[in-house]
Amino acid sequence: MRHAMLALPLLLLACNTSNTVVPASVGGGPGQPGFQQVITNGWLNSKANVTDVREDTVSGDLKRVQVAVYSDQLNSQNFSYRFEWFDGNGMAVQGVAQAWQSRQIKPKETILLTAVAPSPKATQWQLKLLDTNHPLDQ
Amino acid sequence: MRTIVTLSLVSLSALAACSTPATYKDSQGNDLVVSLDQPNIQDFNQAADKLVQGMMTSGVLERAPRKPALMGISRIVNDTSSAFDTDQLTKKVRVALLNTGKIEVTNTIGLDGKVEDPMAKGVQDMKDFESGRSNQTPDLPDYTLTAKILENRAAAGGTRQVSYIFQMSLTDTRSGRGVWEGEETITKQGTKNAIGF
Repeated sequence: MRHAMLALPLLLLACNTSNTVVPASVGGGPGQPGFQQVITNGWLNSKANVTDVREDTVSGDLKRVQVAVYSDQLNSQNFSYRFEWFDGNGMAVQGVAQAWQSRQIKPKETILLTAVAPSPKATQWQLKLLDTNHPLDQ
Repeated sequence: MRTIVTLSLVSLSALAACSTPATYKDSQGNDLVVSLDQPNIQDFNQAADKLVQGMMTSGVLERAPRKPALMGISRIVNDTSSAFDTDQLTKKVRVALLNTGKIEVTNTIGLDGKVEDPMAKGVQDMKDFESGRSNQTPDLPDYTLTAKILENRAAAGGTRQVSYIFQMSLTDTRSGRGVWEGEETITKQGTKNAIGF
């Protein structure tokens, strides 16, 4: 039993899966929609943990998102991220903004990731986070 | 003899283990080649993304004389040591700008008379002639776009660093004034090219 309990975190650690952040469907205030995190990678979450989400509109009708990401690690870390956009029906809206991008985050630092919707039709979004230098990949 | 055969098999196995068969990759993925001697596809993606976001965030197109505004592509300069087609940047920017619905691009007016679409220009001229509009001013761009890509290199010991600087300007053709400028720098560092970022 004890071996199984020890093995579980190691198994979770071994998978370089992505974490996903979406705005909360309810709650939050104006410009601060609240958010939900789907965490499948605990190690990644320890170095790229979303702490705040804000939204506004630019150029009249383009949604802009700003996500605060905090690292609880004691060394500089790298991670990749990308925003994905959807229309009111949940259909994907493609754009050049959907390429994976890499960021470095310093120990105990909070950085801001921002994105502007590729089209006025893009009203919903999700943020995917992926580990760059997973410990077991080295 | 058996030793030779065994050694040959071991060598073949080692060779097979070293080679990687070609596979398709997601062009927007994070497991692409990262080069220290040239800009990569992800560098153009990121630069175009950030520059367009900067233009949209500035709100400059909210002050356009008409909506959607008309933009002409002016001089795009590759001032790096790598020979690449600057359309790798400008096409992405054009696509992204068109998708916003804020701006359209003219294909029948080009720098030094070189139009993007000669056939469209010919048809437009013919239609203007037939409708008696040949002497009228054509639909001129409200804005022009210029860009320059620069390179900055540095090294410390065996570590090499290269920065690609993507500069872009939008000029209002009514006043000739630059109404928006953006710069995005992408820096890569390492001792050799790698896969993934």
